[in-house]
Amino acid sequence: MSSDQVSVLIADDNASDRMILRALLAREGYAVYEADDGEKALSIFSEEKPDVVLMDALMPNMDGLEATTRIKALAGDRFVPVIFLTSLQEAGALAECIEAGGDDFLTKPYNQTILRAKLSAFERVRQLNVTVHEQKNKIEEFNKRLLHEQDIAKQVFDNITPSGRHNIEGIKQLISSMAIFNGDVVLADYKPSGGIHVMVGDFTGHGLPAALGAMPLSEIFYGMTRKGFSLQDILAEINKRLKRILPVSNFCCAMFVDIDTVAHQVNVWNGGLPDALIIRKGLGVIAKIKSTHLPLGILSSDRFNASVDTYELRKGDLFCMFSDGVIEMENQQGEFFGADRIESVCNEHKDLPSVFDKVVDELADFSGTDQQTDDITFVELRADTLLEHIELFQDKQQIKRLSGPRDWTLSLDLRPESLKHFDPLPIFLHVLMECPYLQSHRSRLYTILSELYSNALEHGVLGLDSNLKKDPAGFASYYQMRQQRLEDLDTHAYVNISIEHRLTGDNEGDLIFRFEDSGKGFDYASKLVAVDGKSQNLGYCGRGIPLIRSLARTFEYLGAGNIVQVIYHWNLSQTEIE
Amino acid sequence: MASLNTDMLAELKDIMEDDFAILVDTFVSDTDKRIDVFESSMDMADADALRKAAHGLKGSSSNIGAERLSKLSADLEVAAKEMAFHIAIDLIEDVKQEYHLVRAALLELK
Amino acid sequence: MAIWSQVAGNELSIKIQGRFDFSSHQQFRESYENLPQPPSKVIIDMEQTTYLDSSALGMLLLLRDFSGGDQANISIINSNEEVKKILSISNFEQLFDIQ
Repeated sequence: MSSDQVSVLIADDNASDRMILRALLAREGYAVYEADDGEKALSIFSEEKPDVVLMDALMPNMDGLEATTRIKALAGDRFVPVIFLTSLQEAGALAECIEAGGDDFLTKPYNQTILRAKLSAFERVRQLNVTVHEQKNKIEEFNKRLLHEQDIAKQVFDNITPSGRHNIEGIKQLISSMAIFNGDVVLADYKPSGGIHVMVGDFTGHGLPAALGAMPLSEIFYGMTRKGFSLQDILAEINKRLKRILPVSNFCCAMFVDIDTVAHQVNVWNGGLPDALIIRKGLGVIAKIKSTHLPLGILSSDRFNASVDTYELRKGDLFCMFSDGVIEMENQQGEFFGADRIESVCNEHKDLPSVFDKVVDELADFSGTDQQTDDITFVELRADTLLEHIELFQDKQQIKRLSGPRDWTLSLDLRPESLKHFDPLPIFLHVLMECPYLQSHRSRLYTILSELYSNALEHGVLGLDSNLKKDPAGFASYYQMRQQRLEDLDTHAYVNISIEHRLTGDNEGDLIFRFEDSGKGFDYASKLVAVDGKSQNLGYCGRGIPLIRSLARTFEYLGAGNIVQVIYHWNLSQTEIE
Repeated sequence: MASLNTDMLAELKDIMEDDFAILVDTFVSDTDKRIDVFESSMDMADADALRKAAHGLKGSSSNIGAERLSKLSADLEVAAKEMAFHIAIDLIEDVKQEYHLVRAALLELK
Repeated sequence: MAIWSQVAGNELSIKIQGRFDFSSHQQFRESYENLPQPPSKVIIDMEQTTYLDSSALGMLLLLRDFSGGDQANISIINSNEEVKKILSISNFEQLFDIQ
């Protein structure tokens, strides 16, 4: 029997009927198996797996009805048509055959034309079934693979975007996604200088497409917060990145909260999220913080605005944020949960230390179903707990800040082609920020580096006179000359920068900046006197040196005035606020 | 009404080719056995055995073109089902009579 | 949901009826995508718009991008309080002329 030949099992106790049927089937090209009772039919079926069964109803040992039920069970997903051979006429008996799993009837006397028509009709159904079955297997296989890939993607995603897994005492959040991937993110981290950054984001759409944008957002948030960047810098960077990577129609509604634990205030930037609430114990909602900005990822960098609103945050205050999935949660009657309902829950429980559980209960009562149409995020910041734990955190930071490189020198020699095109400040700043004990000094160190470098380049190497910058016209020609002289730079020009770090005690150290340039120097003794005596009208220029002197422990010119050395001192027992 | 449908038998001969003789022998030996069952089941008043044998003969005789024999078997099947033994006893006689005619005609065709 | 649009000169008028959400995506895009050149002025009439979601906001941004980005001149008129609220939470009045 060739593999593509369709095989038929005849189960009939009537030998002469079987003979006739076998002859008819052989003429049509079918392979034929025969059984003269139900039991034999069953054993031949399980061994030979025929494609079609022609079944007599009344047979000794096991009748056709029972044999059919068992054959259908054995066939499982495979479609095996069972055609009853019958001269039964009563409707009741025919119905029994169908109930047992029969698919059709063939009445005696057999007719070749009818037999051929029936078998070919079932052959088409059977082929269709084989195809459907194969496709079903393929889809199952595909689905299995997809789920597996999704599982891996989810792990990667969770590692990059530890949304809501920040371990900060005093922040409670409800994050409930309608798909495996969540378009809502909650991020929070301590700032190196003390204080906390918290961000809630809600990307357009749901599931994986919405979640993708959360990865860069989260990397930027954590990376920059840890390095001591400000809310403004972080938001500008996130906006720039999202604008670049997201399609025009996608954006991220977000709220950025900068908690200043020293001044007991919060700086809030809200771009497209529902009003945040400040709840004061005993008073209820005392402030609603409206969205005053466009969401992230829409505006170009030059139009982006990171200005914040500042609010007092007392011990006992609660600060609550919501994604619009909360406001727009629908109940079975099609009503929205709404901002008013949240507010009234908060007011009702104004004497509790936390309203979180009350709001969550109210949301669950309201929806009354597991069906969710949007990602839902609700975050409560509890001022007293945050303020309490920040002290513990700072103690831990003392120890952590002393890690990283402690005793080192870094130097860079810049020659003409570098001086023309290269800005060395980011590299230095990056290296300095690898030292945890310096992270909270970021903006001061940046100021010192940038002032020293522009002095070395502009006044030293290029020999520009800062007096030029006293009035607006001179200011313009100063920069024109700067450009010209840079282009004509001679081959011996250089700026040599070295930074050395030394520990001066258990919790303190010195950073020694030394800048040497190829310029001819100047009579620094007279200049310093002038600066110290504040006798000059400095106008647009000269702000640099006094600024450095105010930040640094020592400031001195060496050599011919072409070398400057600045010592900056840090001490962990001071809390620096930027 | 003739005992055999001649058109149908001609077709059957064509289909069965050389096996036609075997088919006739098989039908005859099966039917002989069934007639024995008719009589023994009447003796034991076993309506179910009678019904099954009549049902079998109904089918096999229709397939071989013995239309009247098939019709009589069908009547016998009904009588057995209704346990009308007094009707069955007459029908069995009719079936036996018709079978003799059919057998003779078939053996002639072999 | 239904969207009508008409062009007079270089001015495009779009009227949106019912819920404006992702299901209107195709139809909304068709209302401007086949114009021979970006419109110099667009008026979106939301008198009969009952609700918008964030994907509708995204579609408005797409239209703005098509009409010249920061140079686009798009007015949203006749919107009801609910719709206005949604537009203003996202501060879309900074990008669109909302009347």
